[in-house]
Amino acid sequence: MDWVLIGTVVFTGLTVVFSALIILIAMIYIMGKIFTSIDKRKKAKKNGAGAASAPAVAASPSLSRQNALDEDEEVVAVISAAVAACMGGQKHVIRRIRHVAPKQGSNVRPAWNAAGVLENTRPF
Amino acid sequence: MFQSFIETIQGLAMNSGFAHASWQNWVMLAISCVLIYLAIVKKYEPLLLLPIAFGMLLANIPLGNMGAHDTGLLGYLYQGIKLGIYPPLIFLGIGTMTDFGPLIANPKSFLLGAAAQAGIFFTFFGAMALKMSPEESGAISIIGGADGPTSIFVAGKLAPELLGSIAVAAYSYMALIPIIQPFFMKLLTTKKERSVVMQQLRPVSKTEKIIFPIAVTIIICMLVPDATPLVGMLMLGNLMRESGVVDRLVKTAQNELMNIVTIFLGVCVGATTRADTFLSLTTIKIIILGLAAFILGTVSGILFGKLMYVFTKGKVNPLIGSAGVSAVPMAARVSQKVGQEANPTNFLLMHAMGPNVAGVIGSAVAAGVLLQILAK
Repeated sequence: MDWVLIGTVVFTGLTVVFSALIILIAMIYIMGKIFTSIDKRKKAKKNGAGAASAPAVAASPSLSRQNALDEDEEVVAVISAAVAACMGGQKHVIRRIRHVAPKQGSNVRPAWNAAGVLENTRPF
Repeated sequence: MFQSFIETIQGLAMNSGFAHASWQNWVMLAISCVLIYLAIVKKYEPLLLLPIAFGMLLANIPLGNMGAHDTGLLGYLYQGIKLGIYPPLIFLGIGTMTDFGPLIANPKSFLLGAAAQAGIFFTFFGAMALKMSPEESGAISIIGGADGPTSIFVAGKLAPELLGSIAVAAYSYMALIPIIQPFFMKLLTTKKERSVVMQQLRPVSKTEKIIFPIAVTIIICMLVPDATPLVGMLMLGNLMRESGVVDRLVKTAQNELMNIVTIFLGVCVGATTRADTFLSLTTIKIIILGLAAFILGTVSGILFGKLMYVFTKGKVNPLIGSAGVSAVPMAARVSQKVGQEANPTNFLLMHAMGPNVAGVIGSAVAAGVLLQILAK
């Protein structure tokens, strides 16, 4: 057995394949950084142009989200219809609709997301 | 007149295939029928296995002059394989159908694509240990890349007499990936590792997707010039797709061109399977080494995935490592399925597509290295 040839092919092959792909990783990483910074600059310019006319920012993100939900009539209508379907004709009053954010660092998807994922990946 | 009629019939009988068929011809015809059954009924990669099987049948009809090395139709069409034309054209079509977005969004996937190609080089060692020549060992080991056109390209240049066996082994094992891989994926990972939910991929801009194929072609082909036909055509197809300005060329490459070249490639590969080279101990060695190559590629990818799991403190799911073999998209689907068995809410498919398409580039680079070192 020609150990020299075997060693040459195995080590050269692994080295060249890894090196070539590491160079590509570096290229893509640099490209990604460049394009992300260009996108950030574009967004900063847009926000700067709109800041003068925008009202003051809400006290906390959850409150602004809460206000957005209350004002979004379509979302309220859909949720009301779903609740009415679940109640099966019983009289009821919806007093409040509240967004519940998932815990930070949680590995578990919310139920609706999970259902969507399962629906899309069923063919596999 | 009756005498003349009898003599003519005798002459026709003496010149028929039945009179000239050896037992090896009959065995090859039987094998081709089995492969046709696997392609049609079991649906083992039928797009290629069916033409390969029928090419095998045609080539083993005595006096039919339809072998790859004969002077008939398939002898002329075989020049497309011998001169390395068909596999790069298949790669052109594959490039038009590939989305490199998941890879660009998570470039670390390239490492998994590279790790899975280790199966190729370890199989080279195995083939040399079985007393095969360096060229034959190189041609057989490329099966570990799990890439049909690459296997045919390399085998056509390094060991054309083994092309038929290598192609049949490569496509059969690619079809068996959902059976081969999951066992090793579960053996080498814990349930906790398999349940890892990976961070959502960042959106990739159109400009990045256009620059990617150009940059990859320049970098890889300058580094490994023998990989230029495969990598170059793959990236040309991808650039055509991402540019958005040559839609009709993309449609042709994805459909008509792919279909025509697939038919020619398949039939001609089948036509190389002569009884004297196919019915031999070498074919059995190819079947065993091909399986070893696939398993080693899967194991290398998973082990590197585990390494990345440790280094990223649990952010990378090791299952996507097995998708580094370049059987797109089957290997990514297997990662998705095994991941969902551990965590039903997990969606690994797009994350696994990164290493999967990186493996296509990785196997082309590996092919270039083998050709550069071993081709005379």
